[in-house]
Amino acid sequence: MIELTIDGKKIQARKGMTILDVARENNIYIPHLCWDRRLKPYGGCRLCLVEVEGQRKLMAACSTPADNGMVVHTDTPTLRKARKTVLELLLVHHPLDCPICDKAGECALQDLAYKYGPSEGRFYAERKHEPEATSALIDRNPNRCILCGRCVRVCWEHQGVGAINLIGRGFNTKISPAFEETLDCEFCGQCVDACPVGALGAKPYKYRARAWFLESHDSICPYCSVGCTLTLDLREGKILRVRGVDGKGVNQGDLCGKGRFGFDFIYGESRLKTPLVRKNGELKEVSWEEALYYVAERLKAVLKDYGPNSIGAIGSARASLEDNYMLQKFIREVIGTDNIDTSARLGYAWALKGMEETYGIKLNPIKLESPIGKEVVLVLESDLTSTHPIFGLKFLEAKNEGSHLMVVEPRRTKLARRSSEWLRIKPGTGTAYILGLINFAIKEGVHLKKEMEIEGLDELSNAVAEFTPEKVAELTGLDKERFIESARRFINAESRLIALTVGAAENQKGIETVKAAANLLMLLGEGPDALQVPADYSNTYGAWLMGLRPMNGGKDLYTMLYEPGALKALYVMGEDPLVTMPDAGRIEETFKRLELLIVQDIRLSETAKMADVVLPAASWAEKEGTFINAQGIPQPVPKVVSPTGDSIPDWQILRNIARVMEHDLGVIEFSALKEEIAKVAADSGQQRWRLVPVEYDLTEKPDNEYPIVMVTGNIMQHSGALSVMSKSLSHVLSDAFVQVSPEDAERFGVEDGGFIKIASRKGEVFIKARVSDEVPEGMLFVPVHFAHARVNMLTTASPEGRAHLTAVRIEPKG
Amino acid sequence: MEFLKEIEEILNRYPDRQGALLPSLYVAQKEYGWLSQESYEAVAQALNLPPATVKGVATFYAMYKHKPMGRHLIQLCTNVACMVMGAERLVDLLKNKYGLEPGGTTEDGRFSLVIMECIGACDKAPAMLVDTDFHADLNEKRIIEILESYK
Amino acid sequence: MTVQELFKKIFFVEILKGMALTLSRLFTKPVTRRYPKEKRPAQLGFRGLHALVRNPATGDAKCVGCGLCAAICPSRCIYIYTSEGPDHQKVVDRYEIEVLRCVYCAFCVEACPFGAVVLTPHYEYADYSREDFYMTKEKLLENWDKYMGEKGFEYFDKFWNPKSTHFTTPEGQAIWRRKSG
Repeated sequence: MIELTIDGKKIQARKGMTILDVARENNIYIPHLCWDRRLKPYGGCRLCLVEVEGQRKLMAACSTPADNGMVVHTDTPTLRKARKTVLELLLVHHPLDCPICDKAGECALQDLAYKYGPSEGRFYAERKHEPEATSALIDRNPNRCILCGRCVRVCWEHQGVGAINLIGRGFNTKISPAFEETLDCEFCGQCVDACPVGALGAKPYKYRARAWFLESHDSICPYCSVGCTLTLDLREGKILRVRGVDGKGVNQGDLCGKGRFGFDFIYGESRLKTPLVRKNGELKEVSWEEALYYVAERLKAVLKDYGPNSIGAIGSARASLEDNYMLQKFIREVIGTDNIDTSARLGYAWALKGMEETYGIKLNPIKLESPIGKEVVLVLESDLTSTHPIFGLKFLEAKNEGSHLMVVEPRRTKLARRSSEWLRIKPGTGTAYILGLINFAIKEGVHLKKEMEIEGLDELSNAVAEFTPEKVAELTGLDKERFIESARRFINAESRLIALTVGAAENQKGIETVKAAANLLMLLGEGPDALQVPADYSNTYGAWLMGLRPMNGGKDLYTMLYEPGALKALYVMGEDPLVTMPDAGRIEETFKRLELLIVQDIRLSETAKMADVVLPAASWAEKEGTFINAQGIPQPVPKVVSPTGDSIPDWQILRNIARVMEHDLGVIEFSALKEEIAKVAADSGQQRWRLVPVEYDLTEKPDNEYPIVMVTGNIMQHSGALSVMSKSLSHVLSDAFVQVSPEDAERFGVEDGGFIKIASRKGEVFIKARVSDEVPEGMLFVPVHFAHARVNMLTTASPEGRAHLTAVRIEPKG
Repeated sequence: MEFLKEIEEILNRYPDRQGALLPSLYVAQKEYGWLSQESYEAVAQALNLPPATVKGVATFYAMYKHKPMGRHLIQLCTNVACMVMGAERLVDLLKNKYGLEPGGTTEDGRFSLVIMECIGACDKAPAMLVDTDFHADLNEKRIIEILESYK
Repeated sequence: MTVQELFKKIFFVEILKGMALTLSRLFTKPVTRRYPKEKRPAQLGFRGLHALVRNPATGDAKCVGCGLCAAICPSRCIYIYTSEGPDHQKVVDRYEIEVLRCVYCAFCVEACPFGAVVLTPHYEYADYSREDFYMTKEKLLENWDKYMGEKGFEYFDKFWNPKSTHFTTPEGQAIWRRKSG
């Protein structure tokens, strides 16, 4: 600890802090423009100058370390004069277009000029850069730029992208992509929040409102399971923009493109406004009364004819805790069956099962900060910066702070590009790589050094015996020496972490991947915290906790969807299995054989188009609720806008149906529901370590007829089917595509941008090809979100929870 | 793109790839005389950096050229000492004789002229660099003689 | 009661005094104006009905939609809706004033950096429905043509004080401008 004096106040501080850090911690105001908490000190704006006694020069507080006995003054006539001059110089070429600039009212330069600045400038110059107006989501006006470089540094240092830079020198410098082309990045918009002036702005917000017209509400992002706090800015009951506020929420102000720009899905054109009932083969708009009575009558009829076990329900990983709780209560109490599940069954459930079989724990919340400070961090075949962008950032941060970031991944993902070591394996062989590590660790005798006894060691070492470095090199396509080098580094590290996702949309990992990783970590003496497997969506974790899974032998998602005839009636709440789940052809067949398909959704999804009844639900931000993020933290989501059309919250729909069916669920108000949910106990299980043997085999192997492996997954701008409703996100990416490697493109005569036919053993689809070296030879990558592409017609589901890669062949269309 | 091999050698001398950016750009420029978009992209790929970072760094330094240069680069000083000794007359002379504007290139692609700041030869002003050769004590006659030896 | 008071009481002195005044007014010109037959012209600067200044160069409102009038308005009766135009410029789609809520403080006029909103001398706008007092951009521009027109520029030049250029705080801040020349 050191002690210094700032403005006459004696202050304790830690060594290594800068003067600005100390001042901020103690609520002492020092103006600054180029400083950002997340970035290295830059010392560019010269506004944070302070006087330090004994120093002749003024010191930049952001880059001067605080020292013992230092006496600092932050507001003296000299400093005011210095700041005034700095501002005068900044304003030399800053256009005074505040009346039309969207930043006015929340502009750091405006505020500082008001506080310190002169009212007249002695110098005048004009920049005549062309504002960029063609970019999809980010509006660039280089004339307003003060060249503080915050956007550039956030983009490169923090976000790991480096899409823009200060191009040019001196007066002509401007922020621009490398060759002054239209900005084409991942559109996270972090630069927009970082910009202290109006040089970068969110396009959807451009000229929509003034800062003082807005009212702000904090909410939780509806997309992935990180559960970022969004600050929604509303005008007259309409959300106009989303900001991340520094230091707020689990994300501490960081946001990704989905969170920042994807909110407008609630204003999507396909939103349902009234209930629909199928009459003479067509969905017709009806009143709530009619729809509710229809649902009740039909459900009663199915109950009477086939019994409760013929009815099932699928909950939503994106609906609130309350909605999901109500669904399972309805199914269990009114219908009287245990047939209930969510999309978590396809991914996260396997991760949990894998953890339970190995570590013995039933829940495994992640810790966002977990990668920081680990010696080796291994990311296994997961595009974390796309699926869980803010969690992904922590991996970049860890690497910047000195961790060795190993990325075992066939695709050139952002983490792969920014890794310390990128092991480009063949798709789906991540499990083999881990098994190889286990074999290597046992051979090296690492487990013996820890002097631990874990049951199952012999079985495991037998099971992995065949995964010698040679075999792993053959399976994964890695160089043997390279594998051994990476294995040695991982095994001998002081601290380590394995992170992977097992997503519903992904098909290259499964329960065996999780078990293999858990085995390896146990062998090395690491607890479950060293294995980070985040849940998929905003409330996957919550829905799991609420009991949206068969708990007493009910039918699970695989039985309900992939065994035609297993059910007579299905209640689908906020899920679109036909688009987001594998083997869509089979699901379609199941739906056709149902007597009653009830879909409750915010929009007319593909599944809803097949339904007998469609009930319009209020969406995120239109109702109160709670999300539990992947860290297991419940976070309230307030109602900030009024529901679209006649839609009402999901839990109210279910309550009303129960009433019509003359059943009292005992919940009338939201508060009562919340109280009831508070009583639900989470069973996280007891830790009991066991090594379990893991089998590794691909369910579908490429052969001569189907030589290419197709991997499905989520991408940066889209996740699940929700984001496709967002106009802003669709501006960036609205069309389905498949990534083809340049080698395969040449081999099969595929042109970039041309349509190709992909055929698997299940069927064939036509889709646009993007030739990209992001994927290696012999691999296709397809995002599954786009309904019209029907990618999931090709895929298969794996009820055993294994990786289920699809072998395909491609040919140009025509 | 011969320079990529040279970059691989340079990389060994630096603790990280970003550190090798300036010398890598230099070898790229050495090959073509200037830095084209393709060169930037090649350097970016070789160093695993975004093209924007490469371009941003390159445009900061005056010694990287961003447009095609003539076969010979004349860098003439017009700073105080050289100016007093008549450097500006030399600039006019080059314009009249070769049609060479500051920052421009002759039509036949023989010379490019860059007006540079002090090269530290004030005692022998005016001074210039042609490619990497240093010439001082220039006057109207001498400069033409010198330049005529560069074809 | 004194004798004097008694005298006054008996002879109605006070009443006679009053009547004398009445009698004297019978011979002077009446001061009452016979409104509405006879109308009194309001002076420039009278805070009457609102108008948006029409820019003679473009024919559209001078307003750029900066929203400062709405920010300063104490009764919050100004609504401005802007959007991005075809050439990426800022377009004022709607500019609306709820006249019935206005308190005629004219802060909006003072706040406007472009002199784009004024209060006209027109004061006779009683009407039968509330909608008629909800001024849209079109109505406000019409008001300018009807009640201000050429007079308007005189209004700003000669009458309107304080002008935005008059503002300086003790530290000389409020607005930042470039030295001319």
